[in-house]
Amino acid sequence: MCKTDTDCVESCLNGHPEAFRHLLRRYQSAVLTHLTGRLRSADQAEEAAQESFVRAYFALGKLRKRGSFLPWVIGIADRVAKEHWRQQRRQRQAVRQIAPASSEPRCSADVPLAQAVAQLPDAYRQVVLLRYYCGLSCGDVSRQLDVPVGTVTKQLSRAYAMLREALSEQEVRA
Amino acid sequence: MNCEQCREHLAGLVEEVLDEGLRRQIAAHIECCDSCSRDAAELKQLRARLQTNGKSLAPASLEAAVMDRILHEQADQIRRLKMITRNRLIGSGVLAAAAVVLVVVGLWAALPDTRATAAEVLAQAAEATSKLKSVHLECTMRTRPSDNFSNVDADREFVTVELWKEFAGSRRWRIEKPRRIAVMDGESTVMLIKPNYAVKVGPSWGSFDTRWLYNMAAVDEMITRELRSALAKGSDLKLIHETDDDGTRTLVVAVENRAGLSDDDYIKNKFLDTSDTRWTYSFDAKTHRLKDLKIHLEQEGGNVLIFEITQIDYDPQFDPSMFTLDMPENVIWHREPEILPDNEKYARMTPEQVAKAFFEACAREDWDEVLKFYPASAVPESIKKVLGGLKIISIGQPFQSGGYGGWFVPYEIKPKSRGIRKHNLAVRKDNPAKRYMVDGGI
Repeated sequence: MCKTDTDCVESCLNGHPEAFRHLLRRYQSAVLTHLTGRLRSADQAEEAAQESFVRAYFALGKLRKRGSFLPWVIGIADRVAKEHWRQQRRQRQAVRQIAPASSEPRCSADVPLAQAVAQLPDAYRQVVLLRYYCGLSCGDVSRQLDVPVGTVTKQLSRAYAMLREALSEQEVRA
Repeated sequence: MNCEQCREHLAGLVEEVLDEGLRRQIAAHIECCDSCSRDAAELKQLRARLQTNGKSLAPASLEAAVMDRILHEQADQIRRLKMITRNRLIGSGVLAAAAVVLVVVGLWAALPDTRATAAEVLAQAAEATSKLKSVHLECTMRTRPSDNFSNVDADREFVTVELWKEFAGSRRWRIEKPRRIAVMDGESTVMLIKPNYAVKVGPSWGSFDTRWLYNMAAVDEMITRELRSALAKGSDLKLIHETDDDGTRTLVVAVENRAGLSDDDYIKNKFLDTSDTRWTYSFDAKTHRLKDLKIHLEQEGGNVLIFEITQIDYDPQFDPSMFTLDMPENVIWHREPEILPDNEKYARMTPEQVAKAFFEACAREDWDEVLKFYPASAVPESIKKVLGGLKIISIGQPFQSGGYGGWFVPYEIKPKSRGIRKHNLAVRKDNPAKRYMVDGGI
């Protein structure tokens, strides 16, 4: 079993694609949440997450900091999300009729929360994703990011404040 | 404590990571401050919402879908490479499949602009060895004769390492180096570390650190894996055409493998998968079969040859006794640690404490206590002889290294009848009893 992200990445690059499963299991919730926030749709987020991870696998050789898989794959996910938006704009321009309502998302997702998380500054978003979507404790997060636990909790405090503000604004707009 | 300071630490409070003094200060402030009290309550609600959302996401289908796509896309890439080769041959006007192989070499010689790429050579070699029934590899390796099968040591002389493997039926195998043998007979896998320490697990294909050599014997899979790895990394595979003295044409492909560890990592260049190496494959240009493999360790000061296949026998017949392993009468079996009546006391010990307790028990010759840290049915006589009555000089600060899942604890001891020994004790706790056990470095 790959203990660290570096282990998993090295294992994949040495011709063991199955090692990628460990990275998938660790980070799929975080990437899904981020994409749900970006795309405002859980269905589209799932499709985009799939595409993001596949692209990440074939670009693993370009990952310089092998222990920083999450921020790197989030960067790939952002690019995939942008492509989705561009494609949707083109489709909206081409369609003359009103499209039928999309089916209910298969996985339950708190879209407003995901949006608020996706809008956090990179450092705060990473800490929230690792803590709540990758199942890590504050101690684990501090070890992964190589910062003191106090730094992690301070970043979480600031992230919570920003999330509360963003969610209140969404409620007011709604 | 003011409100700003309190808000900075609210996350620490709900995460229960604050020291007692600070926790009391914040709790006292919240009790007296309506605003911070509201903030704390809202933070708890937000946290609960994040926890709920975090647990509800990620359908299992995502993992399956992603892995499926990755494996399909890789297979497509390899198929495309093979198609390029076939199309060249078809385009040259050759009709019969059998004739295709025979004229390959001639074609390449006649059409210098269509030299095969290294990737195509690997793809063809994989195909050439995909229907083997058995293989025997005889190799030489710079390694400690009694150490792990993947141990490398550029300062050591070469020793013989051999593998016998069947691909059909139970896929039995045997791997042997001077002081260590591992055999899988279809029902279980047993390793004997001479003279008499043995470990037994279920049937496997590469236990006891033999996976790299086992994979090498599955030549087609090894080559395909090498090709996949090269595709994933975008490596530059080098291809060299050579002609031997007897006129046989050989295709040589070189691949760099990087461990990704810094030079000061303890485990760097101690095992094959923690080393920076260059693998040089030689294929018979006519049969596409692997003839030779050399592995060089790349290090400051120059490359050193650490491994070479000296003989490959394809589809040999094996005597059935090849896959049995006779145990010495006084065999000592590896045993997973049991949960002790006072297990909690041992489970709480740090790596440093375990190393100290282990060596102290050796010093007292309290072998029952030693067995609480050493995973065996009995303490081998060789350990008693070397470590019994030792004197501890120092135990250092534990460290981790490479991908090893445990800890290394530096130690300096003076055995009763030997000179001072300085080394690192390896300990790990991924066992059912969840306490650190000695894993090597004695």
